[in-house]
Amino acid sequence: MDFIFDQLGLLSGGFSVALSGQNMAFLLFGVAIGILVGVLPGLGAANGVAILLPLTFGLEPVTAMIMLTATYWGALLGGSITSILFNIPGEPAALPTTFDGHPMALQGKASEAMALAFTSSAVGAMIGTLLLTFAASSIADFGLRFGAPEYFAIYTLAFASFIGMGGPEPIKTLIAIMIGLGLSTIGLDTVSGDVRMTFGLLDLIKGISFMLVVIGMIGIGELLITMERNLELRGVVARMDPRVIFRTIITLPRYWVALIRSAAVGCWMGVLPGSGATIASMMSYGFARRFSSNREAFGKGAREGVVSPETADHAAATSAMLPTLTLGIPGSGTAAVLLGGLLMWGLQPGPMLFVSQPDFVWGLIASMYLGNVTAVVVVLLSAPLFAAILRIPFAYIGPVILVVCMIGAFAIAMSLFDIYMTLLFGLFGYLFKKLDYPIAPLVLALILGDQAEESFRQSMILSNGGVGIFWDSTLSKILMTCSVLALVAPIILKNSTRITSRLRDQN
Amino acid sequence: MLRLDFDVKRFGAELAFAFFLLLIGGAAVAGALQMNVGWKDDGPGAGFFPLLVGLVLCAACVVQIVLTLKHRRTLQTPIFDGEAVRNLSGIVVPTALCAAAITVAGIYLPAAFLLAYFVHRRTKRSPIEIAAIATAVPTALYLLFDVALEIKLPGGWLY
Repeated sequence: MDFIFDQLGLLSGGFSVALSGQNMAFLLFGVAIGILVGVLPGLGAANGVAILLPLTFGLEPVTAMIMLTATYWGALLGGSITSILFNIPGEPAALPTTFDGHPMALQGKASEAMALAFTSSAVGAMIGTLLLTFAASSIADFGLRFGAPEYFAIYTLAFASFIGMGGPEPIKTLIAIMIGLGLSTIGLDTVSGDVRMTFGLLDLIKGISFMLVVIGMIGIGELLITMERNLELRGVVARMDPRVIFRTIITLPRYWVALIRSAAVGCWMGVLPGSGATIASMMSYGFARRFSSNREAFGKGAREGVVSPETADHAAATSAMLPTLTLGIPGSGTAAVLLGGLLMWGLQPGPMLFVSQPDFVWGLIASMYLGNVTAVVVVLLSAPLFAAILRIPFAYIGPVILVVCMIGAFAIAMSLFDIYMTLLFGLFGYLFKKLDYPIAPLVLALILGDQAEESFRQSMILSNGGVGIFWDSTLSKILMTCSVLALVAPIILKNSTRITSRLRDQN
Repeated sequence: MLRLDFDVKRFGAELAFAFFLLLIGGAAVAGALQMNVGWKDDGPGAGFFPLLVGLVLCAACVVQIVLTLKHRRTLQTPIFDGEAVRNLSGIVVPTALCAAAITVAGIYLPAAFLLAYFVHRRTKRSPIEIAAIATAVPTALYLLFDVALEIKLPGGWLY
């Protein structure tokens, strides 16, 4: 009981930070920008956060993080608008919402579908944030026991999870991680002071900022894909009827089983590095369909088909902040970008952050409650307005985003070289997207690369060059075993499913 | 207008990109070998970790090349065509020119020209509408960056 009161005390301190006029103004701005980037197909939460990052250099870190996380929540909601009205996911995680959300819109129930999606999102986000509130301190305390070998083991676990669960082509994920790690080694070596991997280019001595890679590969790369297709959107016109919204909200408890199940799936997938909101929402939709007594209704406008993925999506996004803040291991691609932002402000995510910067941490956690509630209220009031933006030709919006990306890249270090690098990464990102190479693991590896190398070198010094150190302590032994399991379990499962189905066919 | 009638199959694109990444891996190994890759007084040398990363990258690329060759038959769908390349170069080339112009002309003027070019090329709006968009967006960006956020971007010929 004391523990709960302690956490609530810390959280109320956080609310006094988050509720300042300035922080609330930036939260609102972040939500609005987030909904906008979420609504636009081809621009997602990670892009929105990456493009906004250079704009936050002049702000206090807590204000900046509140704005950027609010952008994340707004983007997830914006993605659902496009899914329901236009049958195109504005955000990758909003894909399953198209399956039943758009049929509902076609039946004239767009307002109901959006109200269902937004309110169940709020439930998912609240459960994810509650998990963060009550588990963060314990995990951070646990993290204080970590030494260099344990840290290297946990980075290995993060990379292994991405490879094991990242997608159908694990070798491409491995390549992406290695490129990210390779990019992180460019520039000044912090241990020896040597300049390395610059190939004589003076501009590379300062290293490659992860922001150039994110703005280039995710922002410009995605934009090139969208502009290449000459996207034209036609969707269902909707207006939000307050009576329908109210009626929908009071029916939400009817779906309590779907809500709890989806939130549990979301939280689990969010905490696990390498999975994230997209897998959570897909998985949750699958479960909802499998366990439904009215399975035939799925795909034709089933309300549970909207509630389940939306709850899981938001639970995953909010709970992804748990490993990000407590251990410095991002649970999703967007969380990786947020982690990079923290590092840029000189804040080292991990257990010590809870000790040295409690106002920052609890201010941010409190803002997640405020941000999600604000985002849902804003999106309920303004969904038709944001949907109208989709009727502006992308020929206007695309170039504006391109210019903002270029200015954002330039603003990082006021360097022209950075603009060229960003454009180069943009082309690289385009090819990655076209050929199904995942970008999130590359960004994660680039952000964690320095720390992974440092913990590896420190471990090597401790053991005098013996790799057995990673199997010495019980903790690192468990983490390394989990890494091996994360790497091989999906392959074994895939092959066993194949063998089982082959045997069934033979019988 | 230049006619570009061709299709690039997924197989060719996958193979070429994997070879390109193998080259990057090779460059990483070469770069690491210029440093100390052995053991120093303060632990592994500066080149040790990049060497490890470069070698794993090369090995992964070789596996990817083998997998691509193995699945050759299923990778025959077109992935790039002339239309896509023309659209893409229509975006990348003007953007690169704009980036080059920033050195002398500042950031806002080239951005205005880039916007005007794109809107004209893609929507064929009237010159007044194009001029309005090309002026409004950089002005809004100036107000946001230079005035509100006090991030001073180069004005070049403007100020």
